[in-house]
Amino acid sequence: MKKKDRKEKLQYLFKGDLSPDETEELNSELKKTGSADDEIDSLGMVSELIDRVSVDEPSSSMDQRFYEMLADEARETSSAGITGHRSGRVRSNSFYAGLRVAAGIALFLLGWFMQSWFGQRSDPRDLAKLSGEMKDLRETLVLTMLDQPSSLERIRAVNMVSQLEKADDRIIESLLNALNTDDNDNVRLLSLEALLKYSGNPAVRDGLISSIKNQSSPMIQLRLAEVMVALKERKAAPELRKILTNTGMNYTVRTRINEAVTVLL
Amino acid sequence: MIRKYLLTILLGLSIGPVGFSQEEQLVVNLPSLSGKHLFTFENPKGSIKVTGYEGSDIVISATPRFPGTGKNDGNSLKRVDRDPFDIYAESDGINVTLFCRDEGKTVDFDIKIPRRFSLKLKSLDNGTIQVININGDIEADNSNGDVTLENISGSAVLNSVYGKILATFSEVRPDYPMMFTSLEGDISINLPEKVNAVLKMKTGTGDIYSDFDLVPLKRQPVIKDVENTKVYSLEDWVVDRVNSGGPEYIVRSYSGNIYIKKNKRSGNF
Repeated sequence: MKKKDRKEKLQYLFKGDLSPDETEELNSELKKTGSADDEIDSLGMVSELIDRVSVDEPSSSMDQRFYEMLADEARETSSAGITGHRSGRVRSNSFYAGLRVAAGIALFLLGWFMQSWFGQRSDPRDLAKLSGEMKDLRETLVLTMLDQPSSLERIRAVNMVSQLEKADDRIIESLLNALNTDDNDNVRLLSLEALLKYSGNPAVRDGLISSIKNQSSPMIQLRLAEVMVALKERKAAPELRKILTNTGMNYTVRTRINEAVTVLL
Repeated sequence: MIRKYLLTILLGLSIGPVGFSQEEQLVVNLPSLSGKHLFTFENPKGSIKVTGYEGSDIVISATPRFPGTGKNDGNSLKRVDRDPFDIYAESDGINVTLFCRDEGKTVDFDIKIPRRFSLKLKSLDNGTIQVININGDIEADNSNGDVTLENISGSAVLNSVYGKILATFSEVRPDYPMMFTSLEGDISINLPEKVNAVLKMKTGTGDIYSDFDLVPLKRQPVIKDVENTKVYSLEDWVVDRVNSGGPEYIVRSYSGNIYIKKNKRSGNF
């Protein structure tokens, strides 16, 4: 108790709330415990500094928020058992964590696709390069198919040529080759039809004219004669006249080729 | 490899009695029916009939159309005609090619073949081509006679000059085009009712008939260079869609009619 009394007296001493007699008595006691005068003065100064430090008072709004949060927590606690609440919280956390990971992956993939798709498209040089590669690929495929032993595949190839916007020299050459040498008349006929699209090309026109002598099928002879008349290709007349020397020629075909020669001369 | 099978084939050849009025038979044994097989035959003179069956061998029957007269030498001796024609086949187990040396005689062939086989047939003269019950791709060329296909599952490329073309498909290969041409003959194609295709048709003096609900498609523009002038026109083909459209079936005759009919007992692959 005595100690406690002395502590309380010390606090009062530092605050200057002791009477002169009480102050004198306390200082003599402190000196008896080995405390020097300057130490007693220092303690007084520290006490004074602590008192000067300002402490923010909680505002009324802070109080209100605190009590609201407290009330919410109390409601949650009362609506679910402590164990259930915790496990739900754990499940919910793992679910949301998984969702976040999935969303992250999805966003990454979306970004990657957007970059690779729109990124390339946005560059006209890349687009042109891609388009050129696709065209090369299609043309290579057509050339390969034109070499297949199955006439069905060759017809597929010629059909693909018809769908090309423009055929390059290799394709034209292959079509002319098919017109002259393919062992199936239908492939020859279809090649002829496909070449008509390029009849403005002098190489194609010359190729068509020189192919007249290579045809034994009346149907192809007839079609070539029709084409030459439609193109008003006068250079074809001598070639058409040559095949008229074939005595075994179908009468109808002979008549029509004669008519074609008359028109072209 | 080819020689090995050729030997087998020659051993399987059963020569008929003396005289060429008899049917002769050649049997080609196939080691396996798995995979895609092709049978090729070009008959110099005569008909070709190929029928698909459930067996595993190719059974080739060849019959001269005009029997020998059995002339004598004037001294009561009959002329003995042997080997009036020669047939042989080469096989690598997958592709089988039949050859016929006919010495100018007309020889008709009746061939039984496993049903799953593709065919490449040609008759150069004096015959018809008939194909029945085949599951495969058929290429047939017969300048002077008819080409008839019955109960076919697959695709076809058929050509004739003076003959008719009649093809009945129970099933068709999706995404595969087909082509049928004849200079003077009618062309009649019976397709599965639910077939999806684009028909590209043209006939000179004939007409086109169909019981399908054909939908006309826009014709493509044609640009021609005529004496340094560009001439713009539309393609002179009838282009129609069947059902939802699909691969092109080209049908072309100069003076025959074109018939596109429904084969109601059929489907698609």
